Amino acid sequence: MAQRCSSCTEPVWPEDAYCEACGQRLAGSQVVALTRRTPTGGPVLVQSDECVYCHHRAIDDQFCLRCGRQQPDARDRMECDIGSVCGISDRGMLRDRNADAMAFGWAGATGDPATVVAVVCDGVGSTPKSDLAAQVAADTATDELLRCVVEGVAAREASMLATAAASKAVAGLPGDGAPSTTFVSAIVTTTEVTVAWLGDSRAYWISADGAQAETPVDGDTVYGSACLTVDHTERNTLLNEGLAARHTLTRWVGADAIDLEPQVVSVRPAGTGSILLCSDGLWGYATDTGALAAQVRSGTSPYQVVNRLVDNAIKRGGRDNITGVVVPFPPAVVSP
Amino acid sequence: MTAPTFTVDVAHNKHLARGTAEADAIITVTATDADAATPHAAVVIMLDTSASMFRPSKLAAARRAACAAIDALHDGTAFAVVAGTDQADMVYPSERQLAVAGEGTRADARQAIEGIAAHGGTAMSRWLWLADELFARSGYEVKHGILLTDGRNTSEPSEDLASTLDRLRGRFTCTCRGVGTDWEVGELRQIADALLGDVDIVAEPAELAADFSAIAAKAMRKSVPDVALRLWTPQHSEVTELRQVDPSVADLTAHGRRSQQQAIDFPTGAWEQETRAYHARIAMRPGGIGERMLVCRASVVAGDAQSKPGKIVVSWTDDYARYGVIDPTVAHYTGQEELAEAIQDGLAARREGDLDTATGKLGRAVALANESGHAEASRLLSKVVDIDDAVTGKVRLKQTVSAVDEMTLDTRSVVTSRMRRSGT
Repeated sequence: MAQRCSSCTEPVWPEDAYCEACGQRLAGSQVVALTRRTPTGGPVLVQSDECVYCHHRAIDDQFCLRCGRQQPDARDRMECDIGSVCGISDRGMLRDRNADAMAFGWAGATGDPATVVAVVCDGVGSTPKSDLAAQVAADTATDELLRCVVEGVAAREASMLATAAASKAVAGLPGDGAPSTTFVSAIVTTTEVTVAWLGDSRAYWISADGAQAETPVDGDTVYGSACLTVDHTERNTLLNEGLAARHTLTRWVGADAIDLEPQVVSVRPAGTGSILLCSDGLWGYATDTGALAAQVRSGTSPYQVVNRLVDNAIKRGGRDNITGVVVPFPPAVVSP
Repeated sequence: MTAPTFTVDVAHNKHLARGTAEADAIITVTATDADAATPHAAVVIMLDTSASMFRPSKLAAARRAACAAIDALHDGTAFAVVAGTDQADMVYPSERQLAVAGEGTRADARQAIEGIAAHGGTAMSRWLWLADELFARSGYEVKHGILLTDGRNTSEPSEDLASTLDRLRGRFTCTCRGVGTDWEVGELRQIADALLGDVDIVAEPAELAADFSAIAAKAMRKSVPDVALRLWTPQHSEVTELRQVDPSVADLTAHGRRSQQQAIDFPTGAWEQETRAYHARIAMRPGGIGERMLVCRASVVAGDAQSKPGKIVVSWTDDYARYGVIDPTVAHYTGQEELAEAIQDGLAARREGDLDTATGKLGRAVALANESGHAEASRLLSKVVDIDDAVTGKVRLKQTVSAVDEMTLDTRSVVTSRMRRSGT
């Protein structure tokens, strides 16, 4: 009896691991997927009672009681490279702490291309514990996305489930003050890129051939580099109504969020390239997609690409936290 | 007696330009839940009875003032009255010790005060030594002196007073009052600064009694003796200046004593339920761009109790939009300090006949008083200069200025206006 693919609705057979039409992994398939992801909670600072600068053994609330210097926070600079996806998050030059977060991972069987999932969150600065909200949202969404990939849930549904899980986790954080965060996720298969977002963290498609394209609509095939997301800000909302532009978020993840519905877009890249997820601390210094694409193309490895992008933002002032995650397309084959 | 709760708030410029090796902070200390009354206060009244007081109205006013102060004392308060000339003599009680306030002792004291006669010179360090001896014998915790004079300290070399103050520094507090216009503002300010008190002018002898009654009542309210401001600084850093800036300007830098390896205690005397603010300047070794450093922890030490510290954390940046921001509280109180200095320097220049400097300094004072909304300073300045433009500080020196107006402005130059909190 023929079943139908959960993604493209083409008929599939029970023994199929993938849909022959769209490449979607099928639910209930017997293939055991390998998964790998960034550490939950982000980097953990090894709590030391000794100052890293002067080795005095009395630290009070991050500050050394001899030399006065603030002890480094592991969140100040987070780097993670798991081969098929690489990300860097930096506190920047002016913020007191890094309230951006990233989490990503991949799932796949040996010899098959991996499906990569990645999430970038930017804790909203005006709310307390926004760094915790961002990290919890990124971790929860990544877990949910990986579960969906392994279980063969379609990318669009997986994106909705992941944002819902992230919203629930952030809303359930203890304490008052409604910590909140922006959110952007990507699911990258060999044929398709599905992004979901709430707020002004962005996803870009960077084409290897140097061409540029307009922001695609859902279901498009993309030929040139383009920003895949449209910021949820008053600037965008109000411009449509002919009112003054303001960079105030209209959607976000948090207990006080008004609109919890993520915007989801799936596109099919026409050729090879990379997907870049980033916070406004990174794209704020690279508003021109062409220049951004050129920077991405000049790197030889995902790490080098993202390192250059983050460095560029730091050199140009680093006014905000800076986070970038790069996923090469198509995703790498899982080695044994 | 409930111990009061001290809260410490700090305001400072959080971002410094690259290489900056100095930070300014305003430390505001508030004492709450203090008991209104204390059974542990001792008050010694030092009356100038030198020959110059002989003018009947003055001596009579001084007698009435001393009686008013004694009437204001609660039962159980220890007190004494000292007659100050080129020596110091007991008026009441006759032995060198304190009496305990009660109906009988008050009546006896009043009688003794009536018997005071004016004679001899003025040697204030003798008066202060006698007061110190009386306080030391009593063992009372809140020790408050009230010193009244009408003239200059002419019967001893000025070094004697200076060395006396060095040795008595912080041993008791002393409120100083000058009656008439023949006394020296600088001399009484020297005493008040060393003994953590204040100075004021009482131009009209008739006003003395009400003033003394208020001073005694205020001394009664002091319920926490020997409160110190403790400033911790990191290695390679130091507190280079500490000034009280609210309610008045007083330099406390020289009062500091190292209490811990990295901490200095600045005595602030006795407290009632009140708020005071201090301006600390800290010199440190600059950190790198983006580095954050704890450059001071400010707490209040009263007896065995230490308050929760206020923390001064700075970072260094190349971003002018950040380091160019001056904290409004810091700006306000540094302005008040400059105002006090401009008045004192302007009046000194005027006395020395340097009219250009006097006009410049007093003009600057007018502008600062106007800007900070210090109405009382503006009013007192307008008696010394004609103001053409209060905003820019364009002024002309008045041809004739009464001695009372000049001394009043000089004396009250240190009184600051409090930072007005905006609506949040």
